[in-house]
Amino acid sequence: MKTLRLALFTLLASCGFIPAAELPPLDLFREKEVVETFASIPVQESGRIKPLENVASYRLLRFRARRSIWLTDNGEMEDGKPLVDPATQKPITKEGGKPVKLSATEWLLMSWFRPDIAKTVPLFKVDNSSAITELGLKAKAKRDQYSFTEIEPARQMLMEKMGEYREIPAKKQSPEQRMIVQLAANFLDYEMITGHFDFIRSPVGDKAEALPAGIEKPVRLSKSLNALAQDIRKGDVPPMQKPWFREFGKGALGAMMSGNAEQQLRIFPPGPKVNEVWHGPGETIFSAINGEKDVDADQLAWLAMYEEVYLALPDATKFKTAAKTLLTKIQDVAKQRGEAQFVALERHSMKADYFFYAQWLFLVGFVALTLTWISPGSRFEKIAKILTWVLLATATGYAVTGVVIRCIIMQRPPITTLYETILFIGASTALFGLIAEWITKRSLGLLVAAVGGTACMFLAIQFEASEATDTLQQLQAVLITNFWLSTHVPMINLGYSACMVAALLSQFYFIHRFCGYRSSKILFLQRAMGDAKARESYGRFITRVVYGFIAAGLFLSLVGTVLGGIWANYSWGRFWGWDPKENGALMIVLMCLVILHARLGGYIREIGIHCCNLILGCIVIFSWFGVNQLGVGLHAYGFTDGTWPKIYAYWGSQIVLLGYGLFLAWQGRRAKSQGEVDPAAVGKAVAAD
Amino acid sequence: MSVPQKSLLAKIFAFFASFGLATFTLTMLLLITFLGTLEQAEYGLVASQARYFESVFIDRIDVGACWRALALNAYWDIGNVSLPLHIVPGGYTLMALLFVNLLCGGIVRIRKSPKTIGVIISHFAILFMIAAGAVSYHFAKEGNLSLREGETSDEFLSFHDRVIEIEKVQTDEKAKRSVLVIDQSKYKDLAAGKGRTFTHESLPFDLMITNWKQHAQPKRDAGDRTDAVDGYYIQEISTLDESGAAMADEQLASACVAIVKDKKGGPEQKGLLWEFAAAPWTVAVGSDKYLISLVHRTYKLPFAIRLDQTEQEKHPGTERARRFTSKVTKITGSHEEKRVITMNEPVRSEGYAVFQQTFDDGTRSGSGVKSSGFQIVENPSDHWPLISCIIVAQGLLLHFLLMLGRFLKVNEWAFALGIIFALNAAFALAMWKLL
Repeated sequence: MKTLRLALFTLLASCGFIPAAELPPLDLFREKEVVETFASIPVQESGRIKPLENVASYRLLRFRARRSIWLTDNGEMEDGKPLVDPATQKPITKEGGKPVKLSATEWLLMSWFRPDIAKTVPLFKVDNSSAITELGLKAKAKRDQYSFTEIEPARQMLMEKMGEYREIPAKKQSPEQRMIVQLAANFLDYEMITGHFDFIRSPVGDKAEALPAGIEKPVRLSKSLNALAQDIRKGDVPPMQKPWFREFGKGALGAMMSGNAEQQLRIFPPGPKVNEVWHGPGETIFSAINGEKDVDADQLAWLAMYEEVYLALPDATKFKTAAKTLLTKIQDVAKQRGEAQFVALERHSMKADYFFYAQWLFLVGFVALTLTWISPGSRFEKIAKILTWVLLATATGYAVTGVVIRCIIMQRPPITTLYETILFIGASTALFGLIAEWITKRSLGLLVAAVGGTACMFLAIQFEASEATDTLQQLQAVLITNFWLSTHVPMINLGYSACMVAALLSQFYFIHRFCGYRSSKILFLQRAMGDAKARESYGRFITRVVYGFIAAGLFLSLVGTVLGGIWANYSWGRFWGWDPKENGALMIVLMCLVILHARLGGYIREIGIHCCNLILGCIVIFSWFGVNQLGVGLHAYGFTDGTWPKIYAYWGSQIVLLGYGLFLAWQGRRAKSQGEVDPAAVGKAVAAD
Repeated sequence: MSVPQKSLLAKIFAFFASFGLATFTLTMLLLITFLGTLEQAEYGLVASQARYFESVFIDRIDVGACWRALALNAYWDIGNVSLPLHIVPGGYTLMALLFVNLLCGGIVRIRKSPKTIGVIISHFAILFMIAAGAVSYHFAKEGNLSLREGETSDEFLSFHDRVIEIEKVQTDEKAKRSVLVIDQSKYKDLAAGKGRTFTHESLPFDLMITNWKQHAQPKRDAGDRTDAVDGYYIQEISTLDESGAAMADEQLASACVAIVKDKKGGPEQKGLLWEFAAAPWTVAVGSDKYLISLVHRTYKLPFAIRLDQTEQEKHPGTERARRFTSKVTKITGSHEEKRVITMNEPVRSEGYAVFQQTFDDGTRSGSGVKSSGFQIVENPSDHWPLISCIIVAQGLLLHFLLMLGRFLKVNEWAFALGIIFALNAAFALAMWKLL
């Protein structure tokens, strides 16, 4: 099957698009009723049942790094001229001549039903214009978006280059080569999406005279698929030489909707108690071509129902009814099978976009927090603080709800991928911050919640866009154990979180010291931070909180790591394997132990603890993201490109702070040895606690 | 102020019990863990484990490899920089130091009071965990056993431990097999030009091993090699794959040259030993024949396992495995017992644990017969980490919750014990419901 598909890809390259008799208006596919119906269709993809909206959303995200698209000549709202509908030759606008923005589902519907427009939309994001030049096309800006029509002339070249570059190991590909491989994959996938209904539009092309006998016209695969397949099975001539096969094969590819077998469109649930794998239009056609026997009547009935939807066009009422009938039927059969019960919940979570709103609430919460610094002690501060509390608590609530809903959809504990660690650590950091604030009431916890929450939610959103694959993934066999996934994994991540909070507080400590040093010159800082004594006491307070978080971090990391070892021991027979991720966790434990013992031994004091803490933060980042880049070991589950520079940026910033810390320590020691008691100097540098 | 002079013994004890030693040991462990992790990218897990974590002293640090693992060569390529040292203590030494330090400082010298009880408990648990590690390192056996459906075996092969086996060909088929084994540590330093002769009273010959290579293949000699044996020589190949990453240890095939010297002064016989060789090297000395081979160490099980049936479930519509299951029969003498081994649910028996590790539906091996790969472990300290974990968790919780209780100005003992009880109950509940 794979070879046949590959042959089809290369041979059928130049087939043009066949227009339907009368094109439906684009507005039909923006109607709420239509969009809702299609968005809710349950689909089996990558081993789980999800709404079609999810499929559309991740495809669009993969093509253009965003989940919506403007119908303008640059794909953006600003400076974009509305696209022209090729059928009516009128610009596509809404009221007031403004350009139209499509959601992912609307975009998918446009691609399916109005490919003529879809192919002119700047869709493919290209970060590296030299890749475009290499294809012999005219490059636009360094980073720009290209439509299907713009890339199409270089299709042949694109395929050749992809074949060539894919042979190079991923680590050794140049950025241009990576870009071309990615663009080629996206282009082919989109070609299949826009050709999705070709198997209904024109199942065998215009070669009707060469069809095997007994095939009704107009040809409908729901009726004639088995007859066509029998003709192929006869084996008199190779299928490729049959005059009608070209169009037929192309339609079959489009019906699959993806070159990746796991992502082909599967929307026809088999009857109850039959096998687990759903059927789809493409799969039905290919199983007829490759199979030894005829396709079941049941599958053909599904195909007929699917044809109904397309053939109802351009009649809007009939189309809506047919689409709804299809949806209801899929939902009913899925329900009988006991599947797809969380599709509605997943749609809700996509719509609610918890992490996106959480990010903004955290950010606004941070702004509100800065307002409390303006006039300490005033009523204004009180109000701002209450506002901060409300905002951050809501944001945390959003983040936690988002995580909980993901657990319900997948029926498993919260963390199974790198992406999920970011969400979990973000939510738990915010919770840690709020708990600390509730205990200490000195704004420090709020700061932790605001900064940690914003950073993690931002990171999660960026990470999702860069990966552009469904973040709810099925697990590999060894990981399917809810007990260990709900004990070892959260504990380790809470450990990361506690240590990151400690590191964050130490960063704040040094910034506080620096601002304290500057406060004699800046009135705002002076008001916010008080006199030298107040600042010193606040510094000591930070240290105490930091100590608490290191203790929590040690407990969680140590017990979490050992639990991981025990899981490994009871599941595959080795307690410790020196795997990079294990080593990363061990390094965190060791650093916490170093800090606690060095403090007890008197080798480090206040500044020393904070300096070591910065290193602890660097270790957490290494263990969290860095070790995955080494590409070795069991836990290397999230290899992402271009992570090192970001890690270096973090390490670099910490080295700067560390340098400042060492400077403070040196200054403090000198002040002490000279026996200075000048109160002004104390304000400048209080080294020891 | 006069300080009473400490005895030498007291000084030594004070040194071993000191926070200074604790800080030093922990910092060194941290450092070697970091370097050992980075080196895995180019040397593989097994090699860097041996170099950093199981060694007494680290023989050298490949700074260049660590540099590349961090992708720093994208900014500045430092090339191959290696620090030849023998002064940095390896994991074995550091663990031993930590053990002594914990015992002296964390158990004996530490102030005994209700405030430190949590710390003492935790220290005790960590001592126990280090001991578990040592026992497992010295006494555990682990390896794998691959069985096709219908196949029976009572032996398994070590993952990483290679040996040279010398076996006398028995003329009587019922006679007990007896095999002489040369451990890898005894010959893996024998690079080209170095040789060592092994002798045993039961053998009519001495065996000299030379020209050992970690990863190699036999190549036909074009006639210009001086080291060729019977027209073939050992060609060393890189242990890195095409993307520059270290190959897994089990993919490596070591090879060496073996020279058999008749004790009675007969002619010398030379042969190539190669891990992937299809058959052992057969030598005739006097009237006896001997089989000599370079193989993974074989361990014997006290029972035999027959694979009756094996299944793989996939996530629907994908090639991703959801579950592997093997139905096996455990055979002890004439007694047969049906057992099921599946992911996360091994079979334990007579000190051995048998885990489902891999599955092949017959396409990978090309045989068309389904097969299962089992990991088999015998570890005397199997359950020690669990016990240690439970203890260390209680100890740390007690200590830190008492501190938090004091910070919060509540009744610290009621606070700490209450939370510990609640957490243990939650954990027990999770075990009961989910495991």
